[in-house]
Amino acid sequence: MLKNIVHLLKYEFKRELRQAHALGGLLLYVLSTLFIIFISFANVSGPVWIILYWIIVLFAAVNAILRSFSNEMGNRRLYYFSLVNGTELYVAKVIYNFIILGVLSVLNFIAFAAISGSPILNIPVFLLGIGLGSLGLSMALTLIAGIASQSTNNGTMMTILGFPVIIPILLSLVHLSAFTLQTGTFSTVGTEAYGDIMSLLGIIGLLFAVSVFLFPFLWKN
Amino acid sequence: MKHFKQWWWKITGILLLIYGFTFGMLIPLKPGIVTAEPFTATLGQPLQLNVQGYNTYYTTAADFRAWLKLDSFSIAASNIEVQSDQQVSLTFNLPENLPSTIEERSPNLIIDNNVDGTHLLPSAVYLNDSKDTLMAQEQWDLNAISSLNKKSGIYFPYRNTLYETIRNTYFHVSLWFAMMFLFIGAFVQSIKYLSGKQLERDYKASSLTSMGVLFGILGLLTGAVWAKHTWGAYWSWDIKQNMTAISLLIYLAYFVLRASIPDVDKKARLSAVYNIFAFVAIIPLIYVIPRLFSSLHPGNGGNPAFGSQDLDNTMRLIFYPIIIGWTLIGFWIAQLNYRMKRLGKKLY
Repeated sequence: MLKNIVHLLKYEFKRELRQAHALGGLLLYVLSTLFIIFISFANVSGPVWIILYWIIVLFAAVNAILRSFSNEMGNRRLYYFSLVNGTELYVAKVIYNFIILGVLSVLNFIAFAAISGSPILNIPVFLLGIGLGSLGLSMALTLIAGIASQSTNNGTMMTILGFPVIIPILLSLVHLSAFTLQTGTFSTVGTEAYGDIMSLLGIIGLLFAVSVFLFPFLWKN
Repeated sequence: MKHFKQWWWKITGILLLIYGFTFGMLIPLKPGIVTAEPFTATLGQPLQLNVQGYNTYYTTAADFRAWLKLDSFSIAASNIEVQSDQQVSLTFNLPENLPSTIEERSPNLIIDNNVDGTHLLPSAVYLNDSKDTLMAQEQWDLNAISSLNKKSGIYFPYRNTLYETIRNTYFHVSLWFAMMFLFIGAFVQSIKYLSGKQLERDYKASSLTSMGVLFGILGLLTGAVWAKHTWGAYWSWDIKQNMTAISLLIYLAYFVLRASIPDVDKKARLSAVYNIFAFVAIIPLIYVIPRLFSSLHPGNGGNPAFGSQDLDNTMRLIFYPIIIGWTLIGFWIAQLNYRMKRLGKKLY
């Protein structure tokens, strides 16, 4: 099981590096959105900064994860099906998407800070938020991408099915990030944001349990 | 499955709803106090309070008494002038000072008579100008309120700001309960579909979901009407309102998904997967997120929930039956819908 997952991950990365244009396109997408936002807003206050940040991450996540299963359609799907089971494939995809999203969020943060300055005073807690957020978003959206990839018109389906589902994660993230606007050590701010961290962990656990149960059904025709 | 073809539970559903609507609308509220004017008073001067009652019968009442009560201290009204059934004017000789141990400055107004029983208005007046709070304990009576009357008969509780809208409990809260039961039904049918792959399960799940969405929309509308009367606007972007609207969006997406897949078996499989996922996804929306934010809704941000305070035993007598009534009717309509779908596909 673990061997298969590691193997799938390696393959995913290899493929991603071969098609570097897709990842580059994603980065360019984030950058151009950033430019549009700061050209039109000029000055952004702390809370608004946080909301804009997470919205950009959300759209980037939807775009990134939408492609998750584009390679596993048709004949190749049958081939995959003979090699690995659904759970392994799901876990590998989630880990892969988590890494991509995490890197993307950190790059987005650096770009935000470089363009408009960062109001975030407690970066460790914010990074914790990025970690939890990437994990939650990749879990929820990977399953949704699995459903959307099998329906017609999958780009629209992805947004329709995905957006309402990830709103709780997004709200917890915005709420959690609001605590990082103040100075303080990791532990003091962490205790204030304890409720948000716990609720994020709860949502992630719940989504993981249900997705691991459901994905094999999605996978198998 | 056999008992689902029988008629007794459909009759029960209708009877329970008729019972709930009739008594929920007809049983009057307990007597209460709407306002007492003026809102502020100066200590040491006589205070004439004009009281507006609700559902009261002051003209026929005997044994009329009234107090201003601060903690365990009180002053009785020195003069009581009944003007009409709903209006009475009370005169209090306010002492020069507040009782020394009390920092609260808004006494509750308590009225008691043999017809209406005891009713009260919390924080009725604000007391100004206390010169020296250390002296005046003896000017206030300690534990003077006794031998209160009780209103007999069946009444709903009277709550300021809610007034008659308290009846909406039966048509708003109960619809949410019924919606949840329908969604649980759909969830169970979806799991059964995935384990057995029988198309009937899929029809059942989609019928139950559409009924649940209908109840959800009705719950949202009755909530909006209630919010207009108590919070001042149909929609105030309250976290509870937003989260329920999003839950409904999640379930509406279910129907979009179904419509987008032409193949019957694939449609059934994908929509069963999404239905289970949606049910799990609305749990944080309804139970986790509202706790993180402040809200106007009862049960959040320090507002009282419908616990022992607001849902008294008389209300329980209507509230629980009407939940069962809505649920049974919901299952009945869902079943009719399911049978129509089955006939349409000739699956009998």
